[in-house]
Amino acid sequence: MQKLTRREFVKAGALGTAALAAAPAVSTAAAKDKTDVWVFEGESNRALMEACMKTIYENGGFGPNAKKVALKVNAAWDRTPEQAANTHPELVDVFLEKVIETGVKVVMPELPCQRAGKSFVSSGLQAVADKHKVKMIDLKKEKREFVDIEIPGGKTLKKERVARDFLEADAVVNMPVAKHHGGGTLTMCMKNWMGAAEGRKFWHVKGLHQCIADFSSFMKPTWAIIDATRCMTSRGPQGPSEDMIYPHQLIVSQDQVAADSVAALLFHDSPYKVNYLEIARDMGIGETETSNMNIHRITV
Amino acid sequence: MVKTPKRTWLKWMVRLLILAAALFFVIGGPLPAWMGRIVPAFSPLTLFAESISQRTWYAGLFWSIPPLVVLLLAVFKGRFFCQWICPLGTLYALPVKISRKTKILQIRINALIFWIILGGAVIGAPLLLWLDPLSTVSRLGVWTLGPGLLIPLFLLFSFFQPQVWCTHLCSLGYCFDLANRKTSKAVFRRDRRQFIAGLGLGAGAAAILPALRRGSGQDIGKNQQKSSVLPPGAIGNFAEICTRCYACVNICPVEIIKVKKGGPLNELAMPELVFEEYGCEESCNLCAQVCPTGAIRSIHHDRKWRTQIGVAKVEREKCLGWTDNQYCMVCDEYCPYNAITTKMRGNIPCPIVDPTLCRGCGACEGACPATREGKAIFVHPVQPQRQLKGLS
Repeated sequence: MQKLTRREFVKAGALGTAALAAAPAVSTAAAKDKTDVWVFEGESNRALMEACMKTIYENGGFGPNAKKVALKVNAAWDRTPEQAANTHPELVDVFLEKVIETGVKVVMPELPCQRAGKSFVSSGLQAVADKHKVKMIDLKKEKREFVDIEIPGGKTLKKERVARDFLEADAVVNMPVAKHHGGGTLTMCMKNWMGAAEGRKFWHVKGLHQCIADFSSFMKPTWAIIDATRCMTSRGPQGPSEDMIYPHQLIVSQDQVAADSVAALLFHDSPYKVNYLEIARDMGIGETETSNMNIHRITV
Repeated sequence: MVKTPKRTWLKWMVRLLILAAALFFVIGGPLPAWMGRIVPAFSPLTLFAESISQRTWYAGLFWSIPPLVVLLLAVFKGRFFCQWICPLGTLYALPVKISRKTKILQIRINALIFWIILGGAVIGAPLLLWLDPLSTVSRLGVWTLGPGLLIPLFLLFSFFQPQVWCTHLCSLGYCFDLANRKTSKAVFRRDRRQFIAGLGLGAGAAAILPALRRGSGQDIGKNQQKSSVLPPGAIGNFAEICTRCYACVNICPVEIIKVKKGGPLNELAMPELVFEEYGCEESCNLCAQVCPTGAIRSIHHDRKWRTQIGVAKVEREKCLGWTDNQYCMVCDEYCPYNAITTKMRGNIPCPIVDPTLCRGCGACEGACPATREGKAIFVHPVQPQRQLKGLS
């Protein structure tokens, strides 16, 4: 039901020039069934992620013929795991372990905000990637890795350049850390895709929230996994923040908008305090109402 | 000493190897950062002229040993360094066999240059120290039109007058002649006129330089040219102290240290910070590690982290938040010091800089996405640099 546009793109085989004018608009009919969201809660990051991976494989995994998974973590900042500016490396460690066990290849492309030599290392993610012999791709250096795409459902953002690995992979997984963000209000899955788009700098000029929503209508992950083990509630996205919360949660769904909406409730009383979620609701990119979700709360 | 073919052959092998190694160090690449300092730091002239200028022995024990050994070598062996080690000497000696033996430049002015450097150093500005051969070689690491032409020019010159640089112009070479116990008295007596002229010229020029700077400073105001943000650790008279070896330009991992274009005479081709895409990283002090002159003080990371090199200012009429009503706050996002505070105008967050927290790292300026009239936040230099108390 999901993965429409990115998948269509891959099937069209139009890498490079991307003629995607006839791609179907985003399906809103999918929302008829209640959207599944899993909320794992527990103190141990490893146990949380193991439970999460079990659920993922019980619900279709990454597709029957998946050979390559592209994982979008957040490794943008020269900050330590405790400072919660990047995805926690312990979670990524378990993810890589479980996926590679099944014989599937993983790549981790990221367009960091600071130099990869600092941010990939401080975040602890480079070490985890090296441990599993996974390639962490610094998109800041490898500009040739970007491919032109068109966003059929986009209102403001109609064209963008996206990292090739996300387009070529059989499945993409969006795995951000949830945190406060000055311009975007919160960073979660939808906002995390900015680290896959070469032209992200212009989104602020065009209208940040609309661009985030537009791009998310194109980039739909197979799985959205939100790291809410520890979160900044101020001074994001980089921190350091004095206002930390420790929900010890992982929020998992196949609908990134639903995952974002549930995660937003850790910070605000309504998901619509985040402008791009309001836009996502209006555009029908995904589910934002918790009443339309099956929320499985699992204590680990 | 009779030169046997075998000895000549050995000498050339050694020289070419050292030249290759020097270029390797200068170009750097994946080498450890401190290796960028090796080539310019070998000059005893730089060590002494800079120490006199700064009234302090800026180089630590480790970095004092190589130039002192070189000087000691000169006491007993004269120009041994020039003939066996100096990479610039090797380069200029390459065409020696095919060179036409003309005498275009008749008089040696190396003594004059040497004493101008020392005269300036006494006043506090070692003018012409950028002509030190090792700083000149180090400059090869960064291509710049003006200073970059010096070596090709004299290489060409060497085809007509062999090693003209080494014999007629090199201040370091003269330094060795003077240090050589066999020749020092004769050399000094020979060049006593240049000694007087050099000291006078150097000291005089160094003395009027501050006035020159003030004068040109006013011009900058008129032309609305921005004065330079300097690397963290830069001392007060950085422009005069720096030998333009560009070790810092070459080492900067985010390539924000650039060679200045234009500006007043004393700041000619000086390294400065330009925040086009990146800011000065929070946890990096590589430029301070490689500077061979003490122009950038070797400050420890803890201290660098607190060193205010400038203050950012928002130009509201260009700002996406203040003027275009856009959700932006990229400056806040990239600021590692939380020095940007948010002022809400309705739903729109707008940035205000807290100057007690802003270090002037330029992360905001580098990231600012405003395009209508260019960037909307700029770092203005703070000189002298100071330690920020508010950071925690």
